[in-house]
Amino acid sequence: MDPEGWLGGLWKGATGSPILFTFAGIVIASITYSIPFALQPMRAAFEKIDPRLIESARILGLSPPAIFLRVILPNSRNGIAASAILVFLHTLGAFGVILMVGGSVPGQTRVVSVAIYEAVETLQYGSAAMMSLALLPICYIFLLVVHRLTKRSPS
Amino acid sequence: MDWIALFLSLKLALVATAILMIVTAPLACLWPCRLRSSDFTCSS
Repeated sequence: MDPEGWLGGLWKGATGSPILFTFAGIVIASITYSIPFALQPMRAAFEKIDPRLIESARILGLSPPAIFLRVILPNSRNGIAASAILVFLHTLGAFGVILMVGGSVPGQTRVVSVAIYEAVETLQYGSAAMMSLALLPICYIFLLVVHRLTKRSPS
Repeated sequence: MDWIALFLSLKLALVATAILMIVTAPLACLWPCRLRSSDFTCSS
């Protein structure tokens, strides 16, 4: 992400500004460091699918993309939901990588974890507590939505 | 209470989750060799 590096250089060439301290920068950083949390539950779910289902789909003439969309994805809904929960909550609570790549630019990269850190640093404990409490219902709502989405899946 | 920071956090989490789900699902699916030729299991 260094402006002289390949990614930073490409970004700077395309947009004219460095990628560091921008919202796009923290999105890329968050994605990079959440990849293992997304990949592992999904891979485990895909491996649990009965190979005979895939074999049958192939024999019936489905192409690999169609097998993926019509057989594999519906049968691994729970794993994908677990993966989404992990990535969402992990990104919501991310602190170090966000501060390092994005800094604390109000309105651009100052996310709630950084805001809580700064509130505690400036002894505004009430504000920090309020922001922490505001995260709770968001997390519960997300968990509830994912639970509702995966409820219909028998596996 | 910094509502903008809260909104940015949500936006970041949703965007990162959406991109990761779209990008990593096919990659994770290809990993165990399930869609390759006639070999449907990695163990064989």
